[in-house]
Amino acid sequence: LISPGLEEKIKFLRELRERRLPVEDMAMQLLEENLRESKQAQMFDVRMLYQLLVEDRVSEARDKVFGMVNGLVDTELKGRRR
Amino acid sequence: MITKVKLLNWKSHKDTELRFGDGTNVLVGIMGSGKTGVMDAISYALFGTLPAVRARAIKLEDLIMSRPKQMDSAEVEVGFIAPDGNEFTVKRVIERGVGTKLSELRKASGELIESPSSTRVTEEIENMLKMNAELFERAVYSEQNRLDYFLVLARGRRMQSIDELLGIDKLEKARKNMVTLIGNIRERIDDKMAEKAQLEQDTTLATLPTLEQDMKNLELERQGIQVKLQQLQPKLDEVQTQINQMREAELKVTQLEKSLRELDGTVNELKRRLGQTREKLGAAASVDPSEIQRQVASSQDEYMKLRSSADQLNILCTKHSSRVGELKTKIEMLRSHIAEVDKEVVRKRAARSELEKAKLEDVTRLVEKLQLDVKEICEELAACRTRLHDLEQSSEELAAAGSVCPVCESPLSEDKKQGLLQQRQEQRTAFTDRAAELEENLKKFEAELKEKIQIQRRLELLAKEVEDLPSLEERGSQLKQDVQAGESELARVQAELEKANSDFERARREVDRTSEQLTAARQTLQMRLDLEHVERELRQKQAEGLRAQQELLRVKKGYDEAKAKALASEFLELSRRQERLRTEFAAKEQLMGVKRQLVESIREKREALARSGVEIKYLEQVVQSLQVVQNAFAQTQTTMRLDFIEAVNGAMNELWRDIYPYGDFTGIRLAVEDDYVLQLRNRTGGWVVVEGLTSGGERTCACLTLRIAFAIVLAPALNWLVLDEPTHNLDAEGIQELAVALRERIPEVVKQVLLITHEERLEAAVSGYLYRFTRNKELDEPTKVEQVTAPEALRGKP
Repeated sequence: LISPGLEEKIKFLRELRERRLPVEDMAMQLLEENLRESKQAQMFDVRMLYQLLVEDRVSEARDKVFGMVNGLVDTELKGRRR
Repeated sequence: MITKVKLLNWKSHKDTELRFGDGTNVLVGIMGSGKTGVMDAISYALFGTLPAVRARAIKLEDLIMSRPKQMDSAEVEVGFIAPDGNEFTVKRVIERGVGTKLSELRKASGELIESPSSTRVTEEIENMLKMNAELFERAVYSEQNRLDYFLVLARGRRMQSIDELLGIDKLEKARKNMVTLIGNIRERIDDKMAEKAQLEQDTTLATLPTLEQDMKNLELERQGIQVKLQQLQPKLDEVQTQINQMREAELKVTQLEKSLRELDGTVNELKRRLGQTREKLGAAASVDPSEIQRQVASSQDEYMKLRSSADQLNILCTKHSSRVGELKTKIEMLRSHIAEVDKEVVRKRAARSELEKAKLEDVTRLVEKLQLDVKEICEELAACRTRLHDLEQSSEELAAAGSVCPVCESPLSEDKKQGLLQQRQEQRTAFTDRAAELEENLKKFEAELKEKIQIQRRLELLAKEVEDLPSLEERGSQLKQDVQAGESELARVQAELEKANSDFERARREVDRTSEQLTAARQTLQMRLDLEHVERELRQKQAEGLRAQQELLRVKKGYDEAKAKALASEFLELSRRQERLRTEFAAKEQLMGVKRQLVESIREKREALARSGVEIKYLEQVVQSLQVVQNAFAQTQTTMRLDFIEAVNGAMNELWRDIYPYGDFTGIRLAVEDDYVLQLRNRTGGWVVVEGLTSGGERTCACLTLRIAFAIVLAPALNWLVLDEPTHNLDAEGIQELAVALRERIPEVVKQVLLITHEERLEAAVSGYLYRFTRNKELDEPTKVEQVTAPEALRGKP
């Protein structure tokens, strides 16, 4: 019933537990493991984003995302002008 | 593992010390006897807080003993063995009004590791135990009556509860907020796309190259005008300079002509004044001023002398006038005095005349005679009255006498007696008559004497009055002589006064005359000096006029009116040309400004268009990325749940045989259906749901297994468990089963269990220490603790 990928992750989690990490750290490490292969997700500081969302600071998270996007846009437009 | 707990003034514990060992340690006692206080103390000592404080149900100060006597502070000391095998002691003190006042962590050897910061002590312990207060509460400490908490939860709530236990409910919260965040970003993408579409329809964007070319052309034209303006300016400056020079010369001519006119006027006025002054001075106009000065000085000397003489005469007049006044006053006073003296003399002469008529010596003699007469009458009257008295007394004695004479004591007959009485009566009548006559005479003489004495006194006064009449008459005569002398002096002084007045009048007239002469001389001198001054001024003004005339001639040579008009005309023409160029320049600049704004606006729009495209691209990428993260949240949540279930099931299967050694149920698991379900495997290999289908003992064992599995999975390093009142909902068989499991089988998988119960039957569960708690709540007594058994005592028992 469990997919091989999921089984891998459970194994990873089990190893984390054996290292006696707190549950939240385990969850975060697993989350980072889940996102490791996704290049798209690497554009964020996932821990920071997670912390803002957990604390219901959605507008702050939104401002940070827009700030990051503005930075990317500025860089690209500057490159084009050159 | 907890090794010891020491409590001072902690809740109902005045001074309690407990030791704990491996296996199941039991605290048994009635409700309110202070058992749970021990568990609260362990939680507070390890983590600086406890569930009720975290839930804000109570404050730390409420843990200080308040009955029977309110204490100021409480102290807790807990010994424990960390997962690395080292033993430590943690001590904390609460003070009323302060909170936690002291926290310290020491090794069993006494070496201080951390103090006094409560937070740092807690952090140190959390690192050692790999656990915080929240996890302790979730995994290790089963609160009162909550062993079967999981089964009591309604289906559909268990997964949520387990998520909370694992802390992965936060992933769900983050995932939900991620949906909101993605929605916000999509709204932004929509806004940007609308903005982009609008910009793409803007036809002005295509006109940018034409506008830029226009701008270049305008700039060239503007520069051409600027060059022309720059070339024109020096010419204008030069003409302006020449015009200024001409204007200066013109101004100078005007000023000089005006000065000359003024000087002519001044010279004429001075000449007029000279004529007038000479006319007034006449011959003196040709006299030297020093000579006039000498005349003035001479006149002044004469005037001063005459003035001094007149002043002295004036003083003499005043002196004589004053003397005349004095003499007149004196004469008037003397005359008044003479009138008074004359009046007195007349009065005294009348008195003397009266005195001469009355003759004082006669009256004096008559008074003396009358005084003698009065004296004689008085003496006779007194003798008469004495004789009368004697006769009356003698008559009374005689009338009262018998036959013997009261005077001579000779025999006295009645006839003789009557004869003597008659004789005496007659004598008395004679004396009475004489006394009356004497009294009459006395009155008459006394009246006459009184009258004569009054006359005598008046005459004596008159005599005294006239005593100073001669001297008074002499005084009157003297006064009259004085009046005559005063009148003679007055006449003399009046004559002198008249002469002095006459002299003074003459002197005064002389002074006035001399004064007029002096004033005239002074005026002559002043006019003569003015004449000299005016003559000097006239010469000076005439010289100035000459100089101005020469200067005017010189300046007029450098001023050409025709040239000035030509220059003004040229300047006007150049200025107009410059103005035209400037207007043209400003128009070009204005046009350039308008076009520049237009170009900038179009560039901004093109920039915005480009930016919108790029931003939309990145925002879409962000949405995709966030969706990946959102999926990762969900995936992590699922993985965590599955891992947890796998781990719990693994642990439970390891434990089950030890906790439940019977053959009817051979396995246990937490199955995932629509929610988590706790199941037992029967002999046939089928799975039955624990709640409702099994006995109380089986249910308790299953719950205990689940609870221990949670502890192992969530806090694998700790290896100890706290069970507070686990017998809730258990029947007698269940309690017995639980006691056996806790005593014999649980210690095989969990090194230490601390069991709190009111159920005395669970005393049978003990394999470590057994403590019995008692307390008289009616009297608010402190908790009393009796150590019933110790592990050493149990070792010998089967």
